[in-house]
Amino acid sequence: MVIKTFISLLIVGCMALAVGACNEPVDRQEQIDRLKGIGLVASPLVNSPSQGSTINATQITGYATIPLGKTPVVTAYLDQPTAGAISVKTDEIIIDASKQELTTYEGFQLLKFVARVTIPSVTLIQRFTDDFQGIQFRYGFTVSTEDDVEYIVGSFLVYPEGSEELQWTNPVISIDSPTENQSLSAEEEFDVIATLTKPNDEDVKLGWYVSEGEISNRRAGETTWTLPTKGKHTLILTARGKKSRGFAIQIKTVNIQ
Amino acid sequence: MKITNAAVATLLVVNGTLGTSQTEIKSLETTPPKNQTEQGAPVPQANNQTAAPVALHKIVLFFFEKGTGVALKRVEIAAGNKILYSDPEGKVEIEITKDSEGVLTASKSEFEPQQITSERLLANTELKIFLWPKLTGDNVVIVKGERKNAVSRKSITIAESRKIAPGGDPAQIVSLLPGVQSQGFGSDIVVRGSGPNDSKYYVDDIEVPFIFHSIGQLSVVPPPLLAEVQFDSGGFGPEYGDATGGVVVLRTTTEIPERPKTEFVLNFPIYSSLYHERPTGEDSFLAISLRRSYIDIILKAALKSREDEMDGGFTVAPRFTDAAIFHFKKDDAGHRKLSLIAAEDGLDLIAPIDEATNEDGTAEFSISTRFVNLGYERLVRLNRQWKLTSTPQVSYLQTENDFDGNQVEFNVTKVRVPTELVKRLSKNEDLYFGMDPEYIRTENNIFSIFPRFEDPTFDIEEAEKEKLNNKASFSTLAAWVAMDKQISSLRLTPGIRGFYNSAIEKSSYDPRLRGSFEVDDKNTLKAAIGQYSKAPEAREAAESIGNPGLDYEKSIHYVAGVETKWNDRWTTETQLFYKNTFDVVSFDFDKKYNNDGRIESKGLELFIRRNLTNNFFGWVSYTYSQSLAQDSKDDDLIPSIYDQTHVLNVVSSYKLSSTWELGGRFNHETGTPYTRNSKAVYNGNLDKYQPRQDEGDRNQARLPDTNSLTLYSTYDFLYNTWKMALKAGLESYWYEPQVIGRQNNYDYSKESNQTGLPAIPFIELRGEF
Repeated sequence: MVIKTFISLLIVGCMALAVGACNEPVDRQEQIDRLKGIGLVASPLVNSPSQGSTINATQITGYATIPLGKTPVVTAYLDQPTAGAISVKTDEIIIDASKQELTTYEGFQLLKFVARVTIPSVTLIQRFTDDFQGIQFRYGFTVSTEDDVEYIVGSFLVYPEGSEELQWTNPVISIDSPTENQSLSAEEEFDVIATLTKPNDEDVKLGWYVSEGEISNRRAGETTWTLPTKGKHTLILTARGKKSRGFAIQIKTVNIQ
Repeated sequence: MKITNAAVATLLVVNGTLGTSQTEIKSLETTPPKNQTEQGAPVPQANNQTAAPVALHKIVLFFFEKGTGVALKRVEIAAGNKILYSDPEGKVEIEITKDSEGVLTASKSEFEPQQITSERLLANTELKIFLWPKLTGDNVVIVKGERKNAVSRKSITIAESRKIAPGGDPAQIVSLLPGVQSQGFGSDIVVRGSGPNDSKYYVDDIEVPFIFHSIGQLSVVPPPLLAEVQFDSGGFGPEYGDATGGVVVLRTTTEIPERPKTEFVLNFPIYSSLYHERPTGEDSFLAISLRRSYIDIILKAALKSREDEMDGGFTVAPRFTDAAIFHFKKDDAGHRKLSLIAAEDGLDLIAPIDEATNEDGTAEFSISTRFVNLGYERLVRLNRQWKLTSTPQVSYLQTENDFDGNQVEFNVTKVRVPTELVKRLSKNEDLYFGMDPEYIRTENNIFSIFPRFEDPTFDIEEAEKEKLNNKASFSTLAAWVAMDKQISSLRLTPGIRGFYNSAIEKSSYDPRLRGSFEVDDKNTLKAAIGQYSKAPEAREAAESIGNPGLDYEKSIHYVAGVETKWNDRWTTETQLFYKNTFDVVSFDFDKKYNNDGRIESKGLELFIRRNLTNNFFGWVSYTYSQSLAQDSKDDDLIPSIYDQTHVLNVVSSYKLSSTWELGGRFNHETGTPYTRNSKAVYNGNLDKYQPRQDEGDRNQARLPDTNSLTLYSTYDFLYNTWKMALKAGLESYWYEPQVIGRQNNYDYSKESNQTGLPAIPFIELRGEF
């Protein structure tokens, strides 16, 4: 019955999409027009307990776009509990301010922040059955500027020692088109193309970002960018593994004439 | 016109010109005129000269009903002061003189009279005359509504349902009755605050795995096979169990057709169907039905034209099919019904959605559900006192879903044998014994998330997939006893139902009492009190993915009301209800599910019904209610997601003539509660924003009220032996877009109304031959 309800909702939603009933102007996630989180990654990607019940410290690297002229502040954040995940307390997250980087690009600043998660002790209460999907530890950060705040959450996995999942690595991406500093014509549609390498047996989700303009399908490896006004603009491609929580990012600047 | 008829032995003389309304019919007496014998032979004249014989023309007339070709008996042919009638085969033989002029009038009640010219009679030796049906006076009440001791029961005929129900589907008629909410819940219904999963649907005594197709709002049972829709919104007897809401029974027909009939339907843009029934003996008939959607073909073509606009492609192909074979036979002891129902729903979807992980930015969904159900109902009158009904049935359900990396395959085989023994104690007193054993076997191959929409942090991309690869079986057994007891004007029906479920290894019992008191010949007071239990869903109680320690959900129903039969045409019914549903299965972070929830519903229902006559029927149904819920005893009672203060339905159908009919329905409902999002968090692993809500805001906001108007017109094109009905109309219209929900932008910083699909014009062509 639940699946039938889900199907009914899906069909109604799709038919509405088909007839354009939901075709209203909406904000676009790909546009870097404010403080926005754009990714998180853990290192090691998948952790394992040592000596039975203690896990090694995990380093979290986060990325966010910051409007030009603003100064970001990063603090730990405790999100609402979610089923199947263990929440990391705020005092178990140590922000390493010395490793924080703020890089200026055309149209925005890219914040890279680093934190260390140390869980003093954890009771691994889950059974490691054949359908075990890892223990999730869920953490969060608040990135704030003078007039905005973004809550960024993520999780990392813990698997038993010797698991294959411990060999997981981050996906690899490259933006094949455009090239760095390529000159493009304003207000045209330009094909952006990416290459993706999946090192793990998992689905990978792509995400395009642009300083201006619109991406037709920001989840596609090949899509079109409706170019913005003249000037220098930035294109970002991200990729994240659905199981591993792996992450990759690449940035290109173009010159629109 | 001179007409002779050997049976009447009368010479008829018709004067007047062709087509005049002042046709004068004179009849001669049985004594033949002076120059003729009765047989028309010349009579010798006094001067011994013989008169010339009268030339006669013999003709055989056959009378049929226009549009069906059914032979009409007792068609009246006026012949002066003599009347001729067609025989049971519609046949009448007459003789006319070859120099006849004028017209002959044939008439029958409920049909338009028809005039037959002399030229036409003389030009033929055999004529088939098709009489047009006529709209008669509104004197005959087809449905009077029998008084039964079912407190909250409504019975709607198929004649009414097919005209006025959404989609012309009788099973949908329930959504227009008191105590029922349907807006925003698709085909499924909410009954007095109980969710869609809390009610049961049966086809006679047969339980099908699903009653509605996922698209088109159509039930899996062909409408021509049905006779009545019976709906209990609460307070029902112990013969029904595992439901805390209501019970809908689609009763199949037991009327033996007089002749074969075939009906086809062409409904744009949804489906086509073909139905055929034929008598297979004096007391038996066979019916076959087949229905298939073609909206998948239309959508594919429509979307292909929008290919360029949709980067990454978009394909959606929802489809459904159903088929039924039905055989009914009466015998001296009772009857037998054999039914085979099969249905399939499917959806193939490729869409550029935010959850997509294909390199072209699309996600693929493939969903398919199919079932076959075979049932055999046997009713036997063992003797004058005892009657036995048993309906052994077996069903097989197969589901295959593949969406976004989630795979679900399961097969369910179910065998059930509901059986009831009735002993007649006296004219109005019966004793019931029943049992309902059921055996269920499942084969599961699942690696998928299980939607938990009640968890505000649930995300289909993030939720852990559950794995279930096993074969499992369990059984249930229910038994009941009840009695109808008449004490003067008071009728009481106490009963009790006991049951056991091996999946949760628990048993329980539900005592129930219904009563009615006839104050006078117009007014009847009704009341019911009882407990109604429902077992947790299979996945909720499953060992690995649920909580096997769950118990039954229970609901205590209190109902009281009065029914007034003002006359044959008008009845009203007013009812108050209160339901306390406890041990409701709720989401639990630690145990996955618990029995800590509670729902409290109360309300007032008003039903004003104009019973079905030849020309007109309709009703007004109004429900005022409040439905509150809590996840545990420590929580406050807050509006349930099914809380809708006012629900009003007005339905009506009126025949303008024998071929024209107009109808429509109006619906007004209070908006349902929803929870506003207080903020959103950005999930860096999924590149998406996830909403967050404050606990105190749960279900505190409410959508705007909704209104919808459906109007239709039906015209019957009558041909000699078949007819075609063209129904056209506008479904769910209102002068402003209706809000069906709230939608947010990608980061939940903005909220706006989500409006439903615009009014849908529809055309349906139905042929019957």
